[in-house]
Amino acid sequence: MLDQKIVHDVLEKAMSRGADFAEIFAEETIANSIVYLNQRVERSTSGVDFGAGVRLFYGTKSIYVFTNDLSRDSLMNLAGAAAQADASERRTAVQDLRKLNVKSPHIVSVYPDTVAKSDKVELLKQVDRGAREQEELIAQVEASYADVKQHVFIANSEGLMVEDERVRTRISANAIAARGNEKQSGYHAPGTFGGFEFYDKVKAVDVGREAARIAGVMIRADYAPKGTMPVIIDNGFGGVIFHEACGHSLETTSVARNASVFAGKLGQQIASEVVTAIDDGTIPNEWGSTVIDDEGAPTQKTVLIENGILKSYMIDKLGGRKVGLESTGSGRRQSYQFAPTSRMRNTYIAAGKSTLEEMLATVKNGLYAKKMGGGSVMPGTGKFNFSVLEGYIIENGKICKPVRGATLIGDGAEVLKKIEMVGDNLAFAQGVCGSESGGVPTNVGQPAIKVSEILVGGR
Amino acid sequence: MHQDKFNSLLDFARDRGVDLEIYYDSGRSCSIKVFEQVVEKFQLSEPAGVGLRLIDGGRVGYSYSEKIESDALKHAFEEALANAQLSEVEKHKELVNIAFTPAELSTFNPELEKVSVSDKISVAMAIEKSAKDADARVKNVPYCTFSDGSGEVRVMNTKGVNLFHRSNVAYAMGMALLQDGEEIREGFDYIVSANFNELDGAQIGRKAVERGVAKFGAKDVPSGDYPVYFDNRTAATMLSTFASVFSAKNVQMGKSLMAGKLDKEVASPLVQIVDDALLADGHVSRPFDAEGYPSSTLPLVVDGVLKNYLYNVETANKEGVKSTGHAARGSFKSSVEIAPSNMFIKKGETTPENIIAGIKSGIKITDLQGLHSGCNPISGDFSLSAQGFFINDGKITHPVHNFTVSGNFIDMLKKVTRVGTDFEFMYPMGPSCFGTASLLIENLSVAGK
Repeated sequence: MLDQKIVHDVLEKAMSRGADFAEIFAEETIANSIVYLNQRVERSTSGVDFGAGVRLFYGTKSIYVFTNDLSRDSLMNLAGAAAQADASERRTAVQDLRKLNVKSPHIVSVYPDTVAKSDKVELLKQVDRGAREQEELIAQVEASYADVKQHVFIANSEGLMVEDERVRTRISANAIAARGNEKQSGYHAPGTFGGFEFYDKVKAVDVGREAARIAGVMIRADYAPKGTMPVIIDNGFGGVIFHEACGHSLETTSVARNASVFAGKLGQQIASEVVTAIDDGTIPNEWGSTVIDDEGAPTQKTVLIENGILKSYMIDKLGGRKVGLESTGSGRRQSYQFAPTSRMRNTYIAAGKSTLEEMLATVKNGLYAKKMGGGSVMPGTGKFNFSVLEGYIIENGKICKPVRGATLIGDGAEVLKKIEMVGDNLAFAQGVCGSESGGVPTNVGQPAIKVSEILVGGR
Repeated sequence: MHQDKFNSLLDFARDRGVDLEIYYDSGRSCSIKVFEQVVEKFQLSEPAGVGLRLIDGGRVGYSYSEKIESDALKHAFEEALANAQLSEVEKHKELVNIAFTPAELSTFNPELEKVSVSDKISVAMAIEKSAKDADARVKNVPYCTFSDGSGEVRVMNTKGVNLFHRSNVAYAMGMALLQDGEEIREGFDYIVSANFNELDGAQIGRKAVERGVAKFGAKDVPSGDYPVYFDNRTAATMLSTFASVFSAKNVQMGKSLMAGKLDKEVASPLVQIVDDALLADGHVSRPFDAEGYPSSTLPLVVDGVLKNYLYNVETANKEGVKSTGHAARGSFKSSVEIAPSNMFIKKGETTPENIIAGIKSGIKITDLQGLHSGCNPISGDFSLSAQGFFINDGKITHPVHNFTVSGNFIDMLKKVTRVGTDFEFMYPMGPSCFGTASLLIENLSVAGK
């Protein structure tokens, strides 16, 4: 993507005033998206993102600059401007650049940019059809499709030079059921780190059906009870609680600022013994996977918590300097317009041995959260508040009537200690995680888990 | 700088019999964050990109590119054309087709482009230093920033439009955290200007601390209806939150409470609301809008009566009226929508001191939270967590907190009984900037203790 000689010169220029590390990240991304609302194409857009960013370190201080103009002159000016922002007496040489060839274990059979737009609209029509066939009370269906092909080039003063291509596609359904003045919505949005062949496996019509099924159950549901009770959170998107309330606190971005409850706790018991949690960027074709991170480091499978003991943080280059640990290949960014920082990939609680039936059998009165919705976490403290998209009452070990409006209120670090049982049905769900370095694709995941008690907010 | 490429793309579109609009947006920005007198974050950027909108037999298609080379632009054109084929025919969509001489506005200050990085850093450092020096209770200054940027917009189309505009501005902001025993308070202040000399970091630091200190010893408020006096910044925040009610698109979609209210009373006779894209010294002034339509000075509410909505060409065509020049794009990647420019409530005749002196028992509001979740721009209802001061017998007696203020935006405008002389614009928010003087509302519902 960029000429080796130019890259070398730009890195040298960037380090000319004493930076001890310089990096260049260039990108060309082709993106397509289609929104299908009320059975017509509401919006179809496509475009090309194109640019490069240069990052410098002076110890643990970081400088970031970016531009859309990838000519030699422009990049040299940019590097010069970055260098002007600070100075030190130290002089570090740029190592000779060695091209690193990486082999992707992820298979892309059908590149989405080779598929006709009309075929993509056809998928959306199927989503709409599935939703309306599933549930008679569906009043509105919004279906959307997106694909992206990101080509990146990364080189740094340590001699690294590497290129990578990331292909992703995703489809989503948001179905609204209406009865009288009431409205309830259901949502389902599967995606892959791969190509259009994904839709051979995941049928668009089923995506619409699932969203409509949830909306249909919830429009007929009563309000949830409130109070502290045992809760079984089922697999897939249930992992969002771990992601938000624990995952972010295990990123060096928060650990290095001492803004994390897990800072300084490596090797300590932070969760109950049944909990093993992993952040794995290597899983074939999973939404949050990468071959290399956005700093050019090979991605890894990082065990965060093993049998309740904190084993590792998620570490990027700058964060690693701050906390004195090696990168775990976790440096990610939305695009060249962001400096990278430590981020999650496919983050999940590993499968245990219990079946859902065994877990239910232990609960006399409680809540079964089949699907989780969105929520928020107070930064630093880990206190969270998440809505339950699809919930049911548990009575005497049986799943009973559906309930709406339930929220789970708690504290990430405390809930980790209250996980009593872990199921055998690990599944992932796809999302886009927003943080300092922008929105990046991440998987949340878990098997069903039983939390001994959690505060349920209802009406 | 890419004009030749754009011209040949327009020729290419004409040959294909397609109407094409090119929206080119480029800029430069610098942002600096200081913590403990060290530059914690430094970022320079020079983003640029092209957004294409084309109309092919009534079908509209969009695409964008940050790669501005002839081949990439032709590719973007083909993409937009393909996208258009998926959309439905809509007869109201057309490109701007009028010739005019754009107004001359002084929105670009060449001096700002010459300011050195070290001078910019000193502004951010001065905020933190003056805040810490101002009061021993300052715990830290977690947010100390300087940023500036310039932007250039070019709009060209196959109907002959070819317009260019540039502007620049700088901001400095500071937030101080203060602690007195168990009580933690925050204070925030900022300055926005295209004149670097006006960005007085020390003043921002002092004022941020002043605002925080004033909140110490805050008490709860008994629930009830009170006269509520919004200071100019919180009043502008309310205006910004509900500004979408003036969009003709929302009116046409049945999503605005101003629908059907033209020439009717929607506010107290003291209220004059104007959207002036041509305002001298306006932070977001521009001679033309995002589709190349001439800007205007548009009275929206005159003596409390609704006189106008904000239109772009499409929404104007639907009603057979003329655009008001309020087409806006969030960026070259977004579609053409509608947004306010410099939207403000004109200043009134009563000084803030006299307004307070006239209040027997009421609340002055200086901070509002939860604007995203607590306001419904469609119904106009709001319920917001607030902080401020209690007023008794015409005097501020003590700070108050832990209460919510609720009501309805239109109802609130109708109950404006005083408009202050202390007019101020907020910082720009995308293509829009909101301003007002302080406003006294006859009464609003307050839920406290």
